[in-house]
Amino acid sequence: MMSKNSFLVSMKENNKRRIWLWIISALFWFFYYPVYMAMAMSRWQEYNRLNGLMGAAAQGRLEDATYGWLKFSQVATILSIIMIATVCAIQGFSYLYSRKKVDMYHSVPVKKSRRFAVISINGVLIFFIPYAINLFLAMLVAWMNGGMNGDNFTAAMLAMCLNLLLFMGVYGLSLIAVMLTGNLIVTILAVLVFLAYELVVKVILEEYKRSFFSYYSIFSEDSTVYSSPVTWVVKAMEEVEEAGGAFGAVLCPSLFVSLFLAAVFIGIAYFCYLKRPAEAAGKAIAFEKSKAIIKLFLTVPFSLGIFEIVDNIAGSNDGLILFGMVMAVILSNCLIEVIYEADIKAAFRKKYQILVSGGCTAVIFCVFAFDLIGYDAWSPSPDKLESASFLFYGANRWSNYVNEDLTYMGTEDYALSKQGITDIEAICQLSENKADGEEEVVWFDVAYRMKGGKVVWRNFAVDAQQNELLDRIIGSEEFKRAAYQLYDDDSFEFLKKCNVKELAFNNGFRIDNLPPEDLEMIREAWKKDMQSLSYTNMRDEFSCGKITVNFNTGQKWSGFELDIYPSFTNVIEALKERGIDAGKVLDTEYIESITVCNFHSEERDVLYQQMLEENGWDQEAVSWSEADVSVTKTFSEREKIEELAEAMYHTELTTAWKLPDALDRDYSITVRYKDGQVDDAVYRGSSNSVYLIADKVPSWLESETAYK
Amino acid sequence: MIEITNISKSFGDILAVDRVSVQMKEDTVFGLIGTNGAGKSTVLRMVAGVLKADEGSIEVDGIPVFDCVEAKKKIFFIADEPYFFANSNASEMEKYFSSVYEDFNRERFYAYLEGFGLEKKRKINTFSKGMKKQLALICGICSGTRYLLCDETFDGLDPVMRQGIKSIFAKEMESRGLTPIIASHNLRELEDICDHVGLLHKGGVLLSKDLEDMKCNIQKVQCVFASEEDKNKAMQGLDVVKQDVRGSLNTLTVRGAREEILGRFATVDTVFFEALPLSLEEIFISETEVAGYDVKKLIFG
Repeated sequence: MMSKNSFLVSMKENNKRRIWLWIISALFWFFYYPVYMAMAMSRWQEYNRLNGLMGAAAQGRLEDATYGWLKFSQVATILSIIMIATVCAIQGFSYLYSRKKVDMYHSVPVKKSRRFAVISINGVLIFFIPYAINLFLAMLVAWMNGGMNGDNFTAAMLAMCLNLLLFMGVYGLSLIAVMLTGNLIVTILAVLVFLAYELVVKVILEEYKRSFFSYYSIFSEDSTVYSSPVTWVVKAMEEVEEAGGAFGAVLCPSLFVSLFLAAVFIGIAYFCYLKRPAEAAGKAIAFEKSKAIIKLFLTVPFSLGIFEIVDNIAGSNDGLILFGMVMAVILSNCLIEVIYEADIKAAFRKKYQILVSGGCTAVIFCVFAFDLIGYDAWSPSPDKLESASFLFYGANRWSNYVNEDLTYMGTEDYALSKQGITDIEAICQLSENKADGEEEVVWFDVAYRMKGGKVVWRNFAVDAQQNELLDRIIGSEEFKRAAYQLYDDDSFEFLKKCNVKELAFNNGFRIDNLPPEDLEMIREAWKKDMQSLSYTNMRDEFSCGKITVNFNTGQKWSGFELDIYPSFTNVIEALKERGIDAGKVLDTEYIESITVCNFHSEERDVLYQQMLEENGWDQEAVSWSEADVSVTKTFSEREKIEELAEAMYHTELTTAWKLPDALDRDYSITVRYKDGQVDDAVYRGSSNSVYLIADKVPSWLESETAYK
Repeated sequence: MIEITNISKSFGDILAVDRVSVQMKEDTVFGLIGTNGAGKSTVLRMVAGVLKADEGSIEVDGIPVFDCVEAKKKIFFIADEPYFFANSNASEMEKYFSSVYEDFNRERFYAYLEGFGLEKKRKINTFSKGMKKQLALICGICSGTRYLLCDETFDGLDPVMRQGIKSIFAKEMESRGLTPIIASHNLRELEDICDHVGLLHKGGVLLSKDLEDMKCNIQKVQCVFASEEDKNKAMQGLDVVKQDVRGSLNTLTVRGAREEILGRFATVDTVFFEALPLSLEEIFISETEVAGYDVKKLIFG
C-alpha cells in the first residue's frame, strides 16, 4: 500500500494537474508515428505497385521508408522534441508565475527538492511514455506492412535514446529559463535566447573578424554551439554511426557530453529553484541582481550586430553606422527595461545601465576596429611553431577529400589530418612577407600548428615571385600529401579498393578512356612526376590535360582530377603506351576554321562610361550591347589555325598558380570541325570554352581583330 | 508558539515589514490588524514559510519555518485569495491536501462541507467568493495543523457563517489546541473572535496585547451624578480617556482596573450608574493613544 504522502502519490497528484499535456503529447506522437507510418507504408506500397516492384526490391523500399522516419536526425522530430520539452518545462512550473499558486504550493509541507523532482520527472514522462508507446506502435505498423527489419529496430532504439537525451537537454535549458523568469512571455523569450545565444554571438564575432581583420581566415571559424544540446546529440549520432551503430554507443564521448550537459542544466535549474524568491511571481526576471547582467549580455551583442546590418545597408557610412549603434544601445536597453518593469514609463529609468552597455559595446567594437588584440600583427614564433598546413587558392583550397567511408571531408580537416610542413624557416619567412597588392600574388590560408597543440589560422597573400620560398613549401612532400589525396599512400590504400567507374585522360577538347585496372599504374607514374613538381613548374607550365578518376560510390563522393603538365614524363609515357598523345592538345587536321571574337573590354568600358555620361548617368538609358566594340574574324588558313591551336588553353584545364596576365581572356574562340572528321574522343559534352595563352597570341591576330 | 523576532522584508525599494517582533501563543485566537499595506499579508506569508525574511527569525514551536517541512506541518495558510486547482471540486482539493498533510481529517472535512451546505462535486470556480473562503477554512481546519493562518479570510463572510466558524474554532481549540491567526484590516471583524491582537502600521508593530488585559485596564461607565459636587469628587484622580455628556447623563471611558473604578463611583452619590462593555475599537483608541497614534486614522481612515 502506498504511503499517504509517498513520492508516487505526489507524482499522481501532480499528474492530475497535467492531464491535458498528457493528452496532447499522446495525440501528437500518435499522429507523428503510427498514423504517419501507416500512411507512408500505404504510399510506398502503391508506388511499388505502380512501378511493378515485387519481392525483395519492394520490401527494400518499405524498409528504407521506415528507416527514414524512425532514425534519429529527422529535423521534424528534433523540432518537435524541442517544442515539447519547452512546453513540459513551462507547464510544470508555471505555478511560479502566480502569487496565489506560490502561496499555496510553498506553504504546504512538501520539500522543495521533492516538488522539483516530482514535477521534473513527470515532465520527462509526459514526453517519453507517449513517445515510446507510439514509436513501438509505428514499428508494429511497419512490421505488419513488411517494412521492418533488425537494422530499423536498432535505428529506432538508438533514436529513442538520443531523442530522450535531446529532450533532457532542452528540458533542462527550459527549466532554467522558467526559474530565471516570472511570466510566460519572458520565459519563452529566455528559452529562445538560451538556444540561440551562443550561435548569434559567434556569428557576430566572426563577422567582426571578417570585417576588421585583414588576415582573418574563414577556417578559424568554430561554428560548434557548445551550449546547445542539439549540437551534442547530433554529434553523438555521428560518433555512434562511426563506432558501428548502437553497440558502439558506449565509445562515443559526445553521448556523455550530452548526458553531462542535461545533468548540468537540470542541476542549475534545481539550484535556481531553491534560491528563487516567492515574490518573483509575475515579474519578468526572478532574481533582481541578475537583471543588469542579463540586460548587458543581450544589449551588447544586439548593438554590435546592428553595425553589421547598417554596414551592409548603408555601406561604409561612418556617421550612419555610429548613429545606428547608438540607437541600438539606447533602444535595446529601454526595451528590456520596459519588459522588466512592464511599464513604458520605465524606459529611461536606469540610465547608467545604458551608459555601461554603450561603453562595453564601444570597447568591443574598438577591439576589432583598431585590432587592439594584435590579430593582424601576429606572426608565429619559430620556437613555438611545430608545423603548418597550407590551403592555396586555386589549388587545394576547394578540392574534394573523402573519409575512409567515402563521405566528404572538409579541406581543412583533411589538411590537418596530415603531417604539416615542417620547414619552419620557410613558413616564418613567408608569414613575414605578406603582400597587400592584388596583382601577381598567391593567396592562401595557413594553419599554424603550434607545439602546444593549438592551431592558428590566417589568410593572406604573398608576392607570386617569391619562388624560392613557395617552392620550398609547395614542393615539399608534406604539402603534396596533404593537398593531393591520391598522392598519399594511406589514402590510396582504401581508395584503390573502390570500384572505378571511369578512368580517363581529358584535355578539354578530347577525352580518352583508360581501362580501370590501369589506375595503380597511372597513379604510380603520376606520383613519380609529382615528386619533382614545384611551385614554379606549376606557375610557368600550362597543363596539357588531366586524369579523371571516378568511383562507383552511390550517392556519395565521386572522384579526383589529376593535373598533367608537360614535364610529367612518366604519365605522358604511360599514356602513350595506351595510345594517348597527351602532348597534342588539338588535332588541327580536323579543323575547318577558327572564329575569334576580340571583345576589346577596355575600350568597351570606356565607351560605356562615355555613353552613360552623355545620358546623364542613367543606367536604364544605356545598355551594354550598345557599347559593343567586339571584332569577330574567322580564320581558315592552315598556318593561322595551327598558330591559334598552339595558343589555345581549354578552360577545363587548371588555372591554378597562373599569373594574372598568363592567359588572355579577352577572346572568344569557336572551332569549326570538318564534316565527318571528328573522332569519338572529341567533345563528349564538355563546353568549348578556351582562353589564349598570352605569350602565344599571334601578333597578326591582334592587328586583324583590332578595334578602330 | 509562533515567535517572530525582529523580522524585516522589502520588495525592491518598498519596505513592507520593518523589524516586527510578535509572539503568537497557542490556544488563543490571534488577530493581526492593520490598514491596507500595513504588512499583514507579508507577515503571514513569512510565517507560512512562503517568503523569506530579509532579516530576523520566525520560529514555529522553536523550529525556523522557512524551507522547513517540519515547521510547515504545523501550519495551514489561507491566503487572501485562496488558490484552488483549475476545474477542481472540493473532493479533489481534499485529496490533494490529504496527500500533503498527514493528519488531514477526511471525515470531518465532508461533515463540515455538508454542514456549510457546500457540494463536494461542484466545481469550485462556480462558488461565490464567500463559499470559496468557507471551503478554504474547512480545508485549513481539517488539515490537522496546529496553526491556521487566515489572511482576510473573514472579510465577506456573513454573520451566520462567522458565528459558525467561530464555534468550529472554539471546538477545535478545545479538542486539539488549534491556534487561529487572523489578519484583517477591519477591527469589527475581529472583536468577537480574537483573544490577542497585534496592530501593524507601516510595516511595524504598534502594539500586541491580550484583549482581556486591555479590557481589564479600561472601563466604560454611564452615570447620572446626584450633584455637581459628587461628579467632581468622582472625577478627581480618574484617568478619563473620553467623556461624553448628554444632559445629566455622563458616558466616561476611564483607564484603570474595574474594581478600582467601581470602588471610586461607590463613594459618590449617583442617580444612575452602569458599567458598559467596551468595543475593540474603543479599547484600541485608548491603547494607541498611549503610543501617540490616532487609531481612527490608522484603522478607519
